Amino acid sequence: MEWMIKTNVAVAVIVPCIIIARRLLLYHIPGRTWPYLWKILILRLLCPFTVELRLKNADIYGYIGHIADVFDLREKTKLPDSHALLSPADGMIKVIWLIGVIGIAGSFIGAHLKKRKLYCMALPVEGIYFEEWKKSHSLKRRVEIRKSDRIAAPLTYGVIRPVILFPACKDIKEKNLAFVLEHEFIHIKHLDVLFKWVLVLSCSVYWYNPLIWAMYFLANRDIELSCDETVLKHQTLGYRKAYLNVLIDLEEKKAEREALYSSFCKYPIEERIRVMMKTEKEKQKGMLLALTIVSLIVILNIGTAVKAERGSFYDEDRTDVSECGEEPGEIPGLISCDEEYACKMLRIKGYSYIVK
Amino acid sequence: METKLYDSELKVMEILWKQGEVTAKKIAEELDRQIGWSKTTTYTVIKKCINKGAIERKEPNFTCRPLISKEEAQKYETRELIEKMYDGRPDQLIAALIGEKSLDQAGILRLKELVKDL
Repeated sequence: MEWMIKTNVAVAVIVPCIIIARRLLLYHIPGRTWPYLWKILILRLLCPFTVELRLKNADIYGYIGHIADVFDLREKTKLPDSHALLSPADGMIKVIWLIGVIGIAGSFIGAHLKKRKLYCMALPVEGIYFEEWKKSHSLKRRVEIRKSDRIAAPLTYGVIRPVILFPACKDIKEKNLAFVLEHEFIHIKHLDVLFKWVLVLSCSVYWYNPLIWAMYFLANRDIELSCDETVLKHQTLGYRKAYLNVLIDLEEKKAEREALYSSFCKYPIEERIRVMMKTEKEKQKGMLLALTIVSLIVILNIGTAVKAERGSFYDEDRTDVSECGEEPGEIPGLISCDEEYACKMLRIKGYSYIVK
Repeated sequence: METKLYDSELKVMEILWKQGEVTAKKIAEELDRQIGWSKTTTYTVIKKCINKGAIERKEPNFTCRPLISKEEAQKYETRELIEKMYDGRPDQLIAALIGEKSLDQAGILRLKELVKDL
């Protein structure tokens, strides 16, 4: 369970930092900054699986072994079996956590599959306009455009074979269609659906942490902000206004709320409009600020990771001792050596545990 | 039939209206060719039509037979449109159609005949 505790420290530090920065600077820095920040954090949350496991099994015990070598104590050192580290309480917590993971992931996947079944029944759109659009918007992945009379607002789903879905009953004019298609195309280009799946994965793993859910909701909003910004980049004021009108128009017919697709009008409209009306020039001024924030979050990420690595040695050692039922200072293998000398050596190596 | 048929369900019905009795497998093949539906999707839609009483499925080979005619479905849709958009008044719908100018002279005459028959 240690890696969970350590990554939760990262969440507890970084999520509030991003939330505060977002609150203060949302209208002053480029919108694409925010998804980057969330992605950096997610990298920290989901990657430690392998890194920390390697640390636990090889590095820590390897390091203890190395110290034992230094003091010529290898024969006397009995490194604990990793299974022995599991107390019954630990096992119980793991079971509860696992039930949560399955429950949360299951509910997301279940809801998605239900909707997906509906989306599969959509009919293809025909017309020269769509053919031309497809030709001018080619990607390595084949983008499909379909219509359905079962949805309220346009949306995109699918990562490998993305589909843009239109509400068939809505009379979307050709001019407005261009905005909607452009918006959904940017979602596909940015692989936003995949990012949303990764967000769901984070929520499933860290379901007990309310800050993860705050991240989930804000990141979903930021995906839309970033997408709007890309669509409106280098566009005239007239284009911006027309785009906003379509957005407001669709907002009236509020989209169904579902997690795993990108919808054209899914999140608080006012925030989006205010962000969009900021011109590129105004936001470029905040570029330096944005870079500073990104760097800060990267440093915090690495910072919490380093702390966690040291902490893991600390925790691991402590567990060993308590499991062995011995007092600090009576670590197997170090009993017969000069304790003061051993402590000194460990401190030199940068670990602060053994203090009698 | 008192339930609305969605576009997807109408797609299946169209095949049945054209060809009469068709096996589920053939419908799936046809719709895969026409609109790229998977077999599972087509079977789901057929099942929904059965539940709504629009299709009857019988052995052998899950042969499907339409229980409602195209005219019945059209009537239902028109009635719904009139109720929803024209306060339940068919004359208003006709006025709107004439106002659209999308009708030619022959179409207008046909409509007038229809109104006379109402």
